[in-house]
Amino acid sequence: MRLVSAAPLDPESADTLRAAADGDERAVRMLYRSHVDRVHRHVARILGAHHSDVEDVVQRVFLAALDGAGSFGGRSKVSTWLLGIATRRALDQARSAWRRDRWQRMGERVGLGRGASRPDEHHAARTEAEQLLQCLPPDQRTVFVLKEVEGHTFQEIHEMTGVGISTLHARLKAARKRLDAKIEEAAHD
Amino acid sequence: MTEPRRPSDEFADALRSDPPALDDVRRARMERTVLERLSVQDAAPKTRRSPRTFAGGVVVGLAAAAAVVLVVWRANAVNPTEDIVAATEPAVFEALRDGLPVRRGAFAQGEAVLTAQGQLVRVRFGGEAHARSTVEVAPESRALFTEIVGDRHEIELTRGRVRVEFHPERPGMQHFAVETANARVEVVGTVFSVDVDGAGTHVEVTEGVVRVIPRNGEARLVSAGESTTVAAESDSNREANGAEVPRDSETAAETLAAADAASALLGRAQPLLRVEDPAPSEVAETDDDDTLPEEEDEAEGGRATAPSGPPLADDVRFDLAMRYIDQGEYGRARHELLAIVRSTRVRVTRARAWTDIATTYAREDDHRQAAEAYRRAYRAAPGTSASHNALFALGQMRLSLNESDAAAQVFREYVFVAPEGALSSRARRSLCTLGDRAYCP
Repeated sequence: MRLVSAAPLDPESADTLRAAADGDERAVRMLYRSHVDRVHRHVARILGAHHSDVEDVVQRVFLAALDGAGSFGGRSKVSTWLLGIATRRALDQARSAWRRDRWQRMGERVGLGRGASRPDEHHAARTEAEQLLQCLPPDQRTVFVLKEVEGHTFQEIHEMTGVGISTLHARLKAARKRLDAKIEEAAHD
Repeated sequence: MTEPRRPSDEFADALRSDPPALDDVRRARMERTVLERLSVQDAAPKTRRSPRTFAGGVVVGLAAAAAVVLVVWRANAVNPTEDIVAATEPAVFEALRDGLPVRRGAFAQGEAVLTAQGQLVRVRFGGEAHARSTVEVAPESRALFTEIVGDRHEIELTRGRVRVEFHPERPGMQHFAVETANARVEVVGTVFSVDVDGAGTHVEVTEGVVRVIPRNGEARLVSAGESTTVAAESDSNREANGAEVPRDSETAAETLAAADAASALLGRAQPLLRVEDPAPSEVAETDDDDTLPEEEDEAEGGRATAPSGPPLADDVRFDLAMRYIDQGEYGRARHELLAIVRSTRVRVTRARAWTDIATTYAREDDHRQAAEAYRRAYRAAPGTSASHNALFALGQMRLSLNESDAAAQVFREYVFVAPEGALSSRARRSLCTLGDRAYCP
């Protein structure tokens, strides 16, 4: 049993993050409970709410954060730093899924029949909005979600993703153009 | 000059207004996994009991509770001046028959209430006066009070009706939810009632606003003076909800019956408050089937699941198992998890069930069985992160068993199959610690 401090913990404090990384259960729980909803929402937006890997990615975000707590410089809030990790992890997963789906679509186009989907995805259900969002490539989807849905500034998105601001502008423009076209197309159908 | 709104703006608005929600079960499951992966010791001292001792305790405790209920009910005697409120008790209850009080006392988290015709149970909790919030369980109802301590209050209603008056001391910080087979009703302070019958869940709001979240479909806000009904789920709804492999023959009534069965299982595991005379079968201890199948193929062979009654959906079983794990009832948790292993066709679900089985053994310090369960989790869904996590945990179990060579082999396998995995750096560190200098930075 570990003895832990009874002093109140601030979920945005670097001290809480360090305590959690050192194995203080109270700090881990505080950090997790304070941020998990936002991290989950973030990951679910990028991957799709019904994607089978959402839960695993969220767990990985917290593990990676506690593993790399030493690299937290305190320049941003802990929540922003966590969202940065969440963005990168979710984006990696989304890119991998996108590549896999692209091969599957290509296989269908050249007459190889329907590619085998992973069984856990076989039963996944998606809302129309989610399907629409998934039509965007991961990089465009991420910037659209972070900027237009979650309301982050380009500077914040740059800090989260490490992508240059002009590139982010271009990706957002492309995402909106693609979405507008898809929505118009759906309206005509 | 402002730019005209584009379809993508409307789309962003729509997404913003309906954020992906994280349900409590998944939230708790992830928290547990994160803590376990970090090897954080539980700050609370654990009392370790052998399954046999524990089962005996449950039988004795339930028999005693049943006897008390029987005696009190038959005597039908209540002292009106009885001090029913102990400041340290989280809640008190009052049982009424035909409008007259017949019994009252302290009410604990985890208790189930079953009422017969003409009977009503009123549970009061929150605040020193125990009167800020009240739940009335109507006649011919069944409600399980899964959480009544702290800032979260939750009831599982599987039959009949509850009326809730919830007035939190700290609005916005305390939450109340009523869970039924096909919907979840969430509030932060209001008066409302929830009915369950074969047709679905009916919610009527008297004061304030509640959020009704169907198992499948859009969440909706219901304001004072309004009511709404969530129809019982069909098979297609279940599938849309992401539940595993729907059963073709399942009907709405069976869905409710399955939820009933779930509560009955919980009821047997905990102090059971029955306003009616308890039947002996309700308090009888069940056998724990906590042995692992000999071979994995056997698990896939569709052996009959042990609990009687209609089959439960995997998500209900996971929920049950989690509650059992939290209560330290590892044998019962394994019983549910093995049923999932036997019934599911989804590899990741099977891997998760094996992982949870491993957790139960690890909590009992049976590292040998835990390692075996982790191995099966790894084999259940190769190439998935659930499988990789299980492989890493298997390495940790080998270390606990002082099998350094086997642990190193497992960690090497992890690094090979998941070089970019979430636990890759930990696996490399472990290998370095175990003396494999190739993995030292």
